[in-house]
Amino acid sequence: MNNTSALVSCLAAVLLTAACAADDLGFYKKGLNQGQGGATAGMDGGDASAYRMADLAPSHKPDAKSDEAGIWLQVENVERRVKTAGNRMRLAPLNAYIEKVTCRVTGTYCKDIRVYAMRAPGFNAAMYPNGMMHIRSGLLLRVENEAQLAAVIAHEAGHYLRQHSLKKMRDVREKTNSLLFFQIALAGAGVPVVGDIAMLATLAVLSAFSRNMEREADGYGLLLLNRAGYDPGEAWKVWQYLVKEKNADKDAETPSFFMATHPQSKERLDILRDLAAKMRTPGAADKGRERLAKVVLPIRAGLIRDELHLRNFGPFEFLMDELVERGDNLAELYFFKGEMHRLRNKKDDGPKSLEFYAKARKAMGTPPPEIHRSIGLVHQKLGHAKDARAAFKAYLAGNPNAGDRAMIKYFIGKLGP
Amino acid sequence: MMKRCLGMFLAANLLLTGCVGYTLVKGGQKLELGQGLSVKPPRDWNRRTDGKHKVWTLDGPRLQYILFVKGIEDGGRIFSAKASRRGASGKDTLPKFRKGMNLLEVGELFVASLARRGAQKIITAGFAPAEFGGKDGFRFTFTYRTMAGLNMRGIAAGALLGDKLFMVIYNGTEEFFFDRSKGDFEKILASLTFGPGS
Repeated sequence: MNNTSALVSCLAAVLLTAACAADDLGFYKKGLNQGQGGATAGMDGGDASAYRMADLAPSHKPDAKSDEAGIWLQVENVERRVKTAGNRMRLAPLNAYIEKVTCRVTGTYCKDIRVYAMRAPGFNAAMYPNGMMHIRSGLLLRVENEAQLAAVIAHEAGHYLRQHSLKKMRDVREKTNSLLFFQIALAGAGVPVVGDIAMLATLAVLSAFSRNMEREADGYGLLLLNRAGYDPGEAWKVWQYLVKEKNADKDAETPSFFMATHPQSKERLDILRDLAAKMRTPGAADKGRERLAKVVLPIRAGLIRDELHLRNFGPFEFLMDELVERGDNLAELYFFKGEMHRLRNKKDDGPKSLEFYAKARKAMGTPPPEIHRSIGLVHQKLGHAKDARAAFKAYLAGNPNAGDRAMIKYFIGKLGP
Repeated sequence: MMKRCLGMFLAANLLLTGCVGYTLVKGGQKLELGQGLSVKPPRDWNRRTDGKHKVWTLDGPRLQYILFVKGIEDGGRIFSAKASRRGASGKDTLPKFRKGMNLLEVGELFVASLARRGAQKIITAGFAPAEFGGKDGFRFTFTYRTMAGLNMRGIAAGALLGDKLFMVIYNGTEEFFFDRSKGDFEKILASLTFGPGS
């Protein structure tokens, strides 16, 4: 068997493994029936509910002689690396905000779960057996309100509380050596991996949470969300958005650990929606849209640029249209729609980008200061020398310390008087 | 079966990624890089081939390197596929150079490529026209932080010649290695020439 056929066989085996886990919708329904007790159902751990949370006591530490202690030791190594990672977000208001949301949904387990916000495009969150959780900044960009962010945190916390993370890491350790274990554990955070991401994604799929574990985490997520007074009806919308964005990806080239390891189905969305409606208790209606916006909007332009660097224009356009629907700082969003057309540079993209830059200048909010540079570049490409010159001059006037000042002046000179 | 299969898959990957050999670049001698490009380094360097590009280093590419991008055409990439992060299908997902890009767009391509390789807080400065091997070209400096938390510094220089992008990129850790070989890099860049007909 040559390398290629070995690879193909392995991938086929992986696909088979994933496909053989048939949907067991009854699992949800069982949890739904038993979880109807309201906001505290299943939280005290005394009953046999499908969503019982007695697996871990608050402040849980593994027995020093157990294999769990060994896995914790390895994951603590990863956590040390994450703490100093270049892409760890160190913004105090953001971290304080995420901690507050985490504590609100996890209650007495709050001190056991440490959430690290990592700067990386794409939607991802990951949970580790020692209580470390990663949230990618691309997730912050996509969730519409605090309840949706809390839904993801609650889902991941469910994996921790039911010790799914431990079982998964045990599985990873059995299938790999310690170097790969380390890399897979880091990859979820978008921290560098030396090897081939496709290979790591394959391993991640091999070791993914089982579908029943996902269902359990879904159920716990809803319970935690509801108990904290958030609207549980926001949870299914997160998954729905992800499915739509994935469908907008014609090339499907973007590595997404989250989508690879979190199987989606219409049934799952429907059940999450029904379950939320049935378990919602009076008062569980907080969405917290403004609270999330206050933290995310000041850093949103940078996060959008991270997505644009992927040059994956289908999902990017879908994301921008979603954000436009939500309506915050439209000037910034229209600017980035213009940037998308300018960078794609296919037929008609030049004039389209100019339309969006014009909309950005008229819309509510503030477009990024480099808008005139972009307008200049498009006019230059379209042969509009006079407009290009005027835009470049406006850019230099507004950005006297621009890092590309000398090159822009050179362009102006080439455009003639 | 699964475990055996996985073992073969890993072995195949290790075989594919593990073959990195260095050769010596002799100092004081003119060296043809291909595509009409030649340089004369003042001292010895270690050279390896990375995809279509040549990478030179003294202490290892994670500490400092010079990357020679030799005339990539429409659809080509500044950094090689091997070094890049890949998509779910294993294909290279780094952004591509496109025919018709101008010098500022090349700068944007460079930043997006670095970002896709995991660089954080990328800042470019001093983007200006500059002679490159006797041709009209560009030059800028850049800084960024690696995912591992290391601060890096670099210089990029290049030119667009007949729809092809030529670049020489010097990259080193902000602490010690960038400064140590910067002078050497400047001499290599100054020695760069295009052969007749280029």
